[in-house]
Amino acid sequence: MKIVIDLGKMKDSLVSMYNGFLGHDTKGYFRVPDTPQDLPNPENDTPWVGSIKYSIEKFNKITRKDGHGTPIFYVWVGFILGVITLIEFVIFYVESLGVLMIPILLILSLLKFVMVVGFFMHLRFDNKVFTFMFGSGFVLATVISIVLLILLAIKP
Amino acid sequence: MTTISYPTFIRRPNEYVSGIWGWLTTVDHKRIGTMYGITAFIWFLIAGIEALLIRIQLAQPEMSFVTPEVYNQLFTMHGTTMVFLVVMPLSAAFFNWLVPLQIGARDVAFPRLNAFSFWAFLFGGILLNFSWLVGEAPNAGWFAYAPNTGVKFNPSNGVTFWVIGLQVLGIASLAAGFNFFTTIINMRAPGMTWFKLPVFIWMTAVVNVLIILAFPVITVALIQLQFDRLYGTGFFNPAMGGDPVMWQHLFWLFGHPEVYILILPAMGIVSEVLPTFSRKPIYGYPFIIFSGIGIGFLGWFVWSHHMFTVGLGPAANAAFSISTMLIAVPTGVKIFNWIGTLWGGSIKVNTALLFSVSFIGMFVIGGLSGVTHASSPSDAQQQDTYYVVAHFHYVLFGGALFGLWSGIYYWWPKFTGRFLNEKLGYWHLGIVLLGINLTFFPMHWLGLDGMPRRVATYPEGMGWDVSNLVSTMGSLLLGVGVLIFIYNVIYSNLRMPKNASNDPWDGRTLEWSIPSPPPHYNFDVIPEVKYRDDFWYKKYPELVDNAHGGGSDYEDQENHEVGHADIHMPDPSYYPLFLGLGLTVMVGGLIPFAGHWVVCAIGLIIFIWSFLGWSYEPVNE
Amino acid sequence: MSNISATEDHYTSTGVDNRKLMMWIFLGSDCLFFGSFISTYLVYRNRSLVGPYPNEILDIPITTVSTFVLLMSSLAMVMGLSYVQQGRQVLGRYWTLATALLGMVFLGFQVFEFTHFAHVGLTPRTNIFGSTFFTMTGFHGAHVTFGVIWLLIFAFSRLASSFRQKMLIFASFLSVIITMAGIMMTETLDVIPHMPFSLAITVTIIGILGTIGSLYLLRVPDTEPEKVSKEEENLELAGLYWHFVDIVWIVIFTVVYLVSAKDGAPLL
Repeated sequence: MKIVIDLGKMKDSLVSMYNGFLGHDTKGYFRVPDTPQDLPNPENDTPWVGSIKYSIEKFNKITRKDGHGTPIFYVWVGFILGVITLIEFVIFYVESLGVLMIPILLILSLLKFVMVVGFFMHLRFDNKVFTFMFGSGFVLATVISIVLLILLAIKP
Repeated sequence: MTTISYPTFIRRPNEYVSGIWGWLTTVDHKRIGTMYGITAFIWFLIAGIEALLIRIQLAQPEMSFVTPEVYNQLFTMHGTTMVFLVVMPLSAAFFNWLVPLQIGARDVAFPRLNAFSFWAFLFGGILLNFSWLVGEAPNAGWFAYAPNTGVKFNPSNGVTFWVIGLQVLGIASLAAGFNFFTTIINMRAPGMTWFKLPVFIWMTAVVNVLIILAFPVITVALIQLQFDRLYGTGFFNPAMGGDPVMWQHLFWLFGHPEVYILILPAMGIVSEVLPTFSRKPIYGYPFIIFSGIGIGFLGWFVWSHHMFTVGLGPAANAAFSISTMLIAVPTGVKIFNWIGTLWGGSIKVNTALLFSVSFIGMFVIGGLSGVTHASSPSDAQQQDTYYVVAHFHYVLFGGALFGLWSGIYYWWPKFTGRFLNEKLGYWHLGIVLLGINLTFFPMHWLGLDGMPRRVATYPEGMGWDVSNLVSTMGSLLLGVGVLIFIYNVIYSNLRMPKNASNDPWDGRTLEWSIPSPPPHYNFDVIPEVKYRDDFWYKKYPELVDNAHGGGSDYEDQENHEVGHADIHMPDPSYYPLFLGLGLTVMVGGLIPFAGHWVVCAIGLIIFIWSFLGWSYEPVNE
Repeated sequence: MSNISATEDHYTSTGVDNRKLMMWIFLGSDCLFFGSFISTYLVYRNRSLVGPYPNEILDIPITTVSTFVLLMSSLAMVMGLSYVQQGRQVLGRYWTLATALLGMVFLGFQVFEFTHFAHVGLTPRTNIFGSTFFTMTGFHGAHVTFGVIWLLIFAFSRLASSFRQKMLIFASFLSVIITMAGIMMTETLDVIPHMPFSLAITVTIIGILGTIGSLYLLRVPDTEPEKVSKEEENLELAGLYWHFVDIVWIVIFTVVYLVSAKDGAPLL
């Protein structure tokens, strides 16, 4: 008896389900498929769905079609980063939030993190192998830190 | 999209740069692999002597062959040397030799970084063992638990040597990890998709990912220990608010992936040897790959099984028991795959095959004792006894080392052009197999009976005398076996004719398609790969129906010209040597002795000069 | 490490450059490095047996400014890379030097913070907060320093093609150092005996003038755009490293300063 695992077929059916959900051909990813550094690309790729189409178009206009941001786009991102930092600073002093401050700050920092990694480091436009490399290191570090903290918080 | 373009001149003829300078400046992965192998084997002999001294001390109760202080240094250095200076570099030797050959590349992604890894390993090992010469070898065990390693209980420089030696070795391993992982991702031959790679390459990829992710953790732990010892911080000092258990957490977060780093290359080698000598493809290729990945991934979530007796609490202990038991599953899958490979195959019996088969047997024994450790109540009795020593020696000696020896016998004709003598090989295997079981099997019941490890002697009347004596006799037998191996190597070099063909074993993978030993540039023409075990199907096209792959399976670059263009190889360089030297001197200068900052400064200068020289050196890579 | 004659594009299985791939892998590995330090800090929260404690000593407004400075240096980095890719040497040079400058400003803030803490009685040897805080931020600062040196050497060797330009870059670097020394001197008037305020101010002003002057004189390009844009691969590597250092700081700022700033004595 031969047991054959044909990854190709499984992958195809998953991808077609995903395409149906998002309404366009995603090629299996939420973002651009394999992109050599020097070739234009992100024409067809829109990470958001449905009602946020306006932001999508605006975003695509700012993100130049050859896969690099214009300087003005980077200045925008820098401005937003500064604003988020300011918000974090203000939130720090709002006493009434209590413990809720921590998740809010973490989310804001995550936003800054993703913006720097995605745009400044160009990860959004680059080959997915980079995302995989960096992502696995980052995710592992985060998960292990959390497991360690939980472990030490459980008193015997 | 991208076309391959080779420059239009040959950089180097078939000869290497000659003489010792050629070896010192080499960036050729084959030579670096040879250097790794020889150096690792010398460390193996040294660590083996340390082991023999331990065993002699334990042959009889209440012996004073060595003082307890020296005994502590012996087992510490034996463990540290075997883990970091023997098994890891022997694996690295195989990575160096085989990764480019099996993926169809001419060299690794960063040849100078490859050379640097070797030199840093060599100098780091010398730095670590230099502690013997100043009479202050580390003495706190290979895992150096705090607070034993703190400056209060261990004021001499021994542990400092251990810390900084491991830092240099860690940097060497990290560099190699980056290098090989990039190579495997990026330098495969056209058509060699991931699921056509040999199992050894997959295991290498997993191992290098583990190295990349685990070594930073021990780097941090070592930095913290160093700062505690030399600069008065309080990471593991309760008087300042620190916690010695944190050392254990950080160390074992590294240490558990480390043991998978030690065993997976040997498993990869066995997965190459068995198919060749059964004339069958590896049974269940996807299963064996995903098991390897699963072991690598799950290995991150079991670290506290080394800490069951530290007092983490029942919830933590239970969680880690479960995860440890889970990780036995993919390992078991591999065992079944190997048996399935042999089953029904046309077996050719020789030393390499017998070492691989012995691997399976010995590793299962070690694995079974490991599974008994997974249950935290039973581990509470086994912890710190000889039962643990039996477990890890079975998996490391009977496992990793047997796998590596199997690889040595298998690929020796490819590396040197000569065969190792089979008759001597059988003697080698037989004596070592007997030796392992005589040495380590009694340790199972010694441990269950309560004999503690890392203690210099044991009292009379415990009933341990005979078993210990048998164990010591076994270890002497092991020594004899190793000597036979050394004799085999020398005999092969002097007496065996240099007549190995390209493909003496009728192998399956790409390295058998080129001469033995390979020319400097490996392949005349970079092969274009259509199937898994592509070389086999080129030899036996009638079997192609069973092959995996075929068609234009690969998703990239259609227009490349895989032509017989002029080949250029990377230039040799002396900067890797000096960078390794500078790093070691700089780090060694952190040990507090008279004038050490001067030494550190000299090392820093050499380091900076080499770094800049390397960056600006014109190369053709 | 930069490769002076990376002329051909070699065939790679994924289509991406080996060095860029390795840099990303290295950054993934470095996450574990900093993750271990940050975890150690978090595990040891509220465990210091003696003061000073975080709530007494961490200065959030100043650290917010230094965070902002580092974020702007990231912006400068990506602007510089963008201009170098277009082959515009002057702007590329200015933005790269601006990145290094902002990085040095950040380091200045760090040095100020460290010396201030030592002044108030917090050293790595004082308590576990000191140990974990100083090693974590110290190694981060070491990463920033390496990045600054990398960018300066890059600007010196790749973005300045004449001796005059190289000397001007070196002069601007020296001027920034002098400025910072001057500022340090004005801050430590009480610590160093007989330090006249006038000397400190003079040194600072000399530094500022030197910086502005040398940067102004660097406005003349003398290399063809094609030669400049060839350097973009190497600058991209430096950029990735620099951004990583920035995101580590984002994590440290949030986790150590904002979330943990109200930590005090152990709750017994």
